[in-house]
Amino acid sequence: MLENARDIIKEIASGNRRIIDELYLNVFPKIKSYVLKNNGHIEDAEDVFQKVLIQVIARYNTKPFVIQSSIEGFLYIAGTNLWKRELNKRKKRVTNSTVVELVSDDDDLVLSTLEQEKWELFQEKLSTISENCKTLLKFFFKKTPYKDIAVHLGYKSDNVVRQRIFNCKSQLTKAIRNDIRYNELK
Amino acid sequence: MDKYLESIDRYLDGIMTESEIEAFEKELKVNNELSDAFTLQKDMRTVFSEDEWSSMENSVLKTERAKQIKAYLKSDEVTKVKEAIGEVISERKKPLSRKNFIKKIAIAASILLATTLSYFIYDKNSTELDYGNLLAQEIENLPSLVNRSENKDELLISGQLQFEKKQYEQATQLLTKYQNNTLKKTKALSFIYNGLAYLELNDFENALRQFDFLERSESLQAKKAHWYKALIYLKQKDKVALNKELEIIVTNSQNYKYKEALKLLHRNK
Repeated sequence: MLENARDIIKEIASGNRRIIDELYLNVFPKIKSYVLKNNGHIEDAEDVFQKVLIQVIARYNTKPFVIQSSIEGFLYIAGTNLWKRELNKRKKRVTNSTVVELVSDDDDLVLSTLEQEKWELFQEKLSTISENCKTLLKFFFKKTPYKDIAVHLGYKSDNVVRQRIFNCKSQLTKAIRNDIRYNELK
Repeated sequence: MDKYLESIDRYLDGIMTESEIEAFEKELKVNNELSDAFTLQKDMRTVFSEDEWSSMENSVLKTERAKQIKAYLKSDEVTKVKEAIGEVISERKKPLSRKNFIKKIAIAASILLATTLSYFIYDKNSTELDYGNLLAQEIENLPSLVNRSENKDELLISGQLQFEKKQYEQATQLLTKYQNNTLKKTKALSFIYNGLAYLELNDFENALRQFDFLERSESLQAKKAHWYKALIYLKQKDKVALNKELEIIVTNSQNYKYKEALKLLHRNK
């Protein structure tokens, strides 16, 4: 059994069915469970499974990168993101809130790949700021009112919370903006 | 950039007055720095909200990196990987569709009829009869040659269609033509369809050749080659060659048709 993520990606790219089968047994059930719990069908989960494998080899082939977690964990997260993306697209189509331009399957996979890279960059930068900031921003991005955050985390007033969040957001903004990858992904 | 953060937050939080909104949106159109800062804040809110997704503009497709990814997606390597994934999925997927259900019932009924009739005509332990049963099971469980995630090959589709209609001669012609056209990228499943078609035509030499190809393929189906070869010898009533294949299968209980191979071996003794 290959344990190194890089070796596994190379084997996927070579079309090694044994490795793909192992990933199907280990990763697909988790992706399937997530998709089915979130308004999808088994065919959607199969699409996600295929796309996530193609996405990872396309990324590796065009710009090699390091996977910090296990390959299974990485593929699961990227798979759930692909499904979130698909739901988002469907929602836009239904509500017609914005004009959704039709693109080819390959172009759509390119877009999803770059969006995943941006998502990972943002997560990576969030992990570099202080624990206190991370907690505050978690509440903020969940749209929790400042007053409730103050009560929950024991701050004197919502104004103090507002100021702290502003500072934390500035730090995070700077961290993202200063990374060369951000400009490439804009 | 920090200088814009407060106004962007107020805009995104929906707490600006109407005149402030108007002024902000006007500025957004002409001020690139504000526009960049606004995009980033909006993206941050989407990415970290957990249940939303931050989509990119199609204009990003014009970048060099996007072009590189797209070129790779169009490569033969990716086509091969897509095919491999499709094969793994169909191999692991249990057929549940109505069409398959009806097909199963029809096959089961024909097997029952054949078994009942053969009771009066043949010896209960007839090898010929067992071959028919075993072959019917194989055909019943064959995954489709074409799956929805890949480019459809006319020869493959027609080959499968003729096979299903039991027009085995036409099936072998179409599938062999497909194999000659695709060379290294040949779908392993085509060897099974073609091999079984040759077997039905009693062209044992070509059937064996197809299953040799299957055995040498990298496919998940490769492990089934010994069982298909066993079916050839079973039909030919070549006990020695049959036992040789069966003995290979029974070396590992994980092998395809392990139980059936054990039973056949036991009966042949």
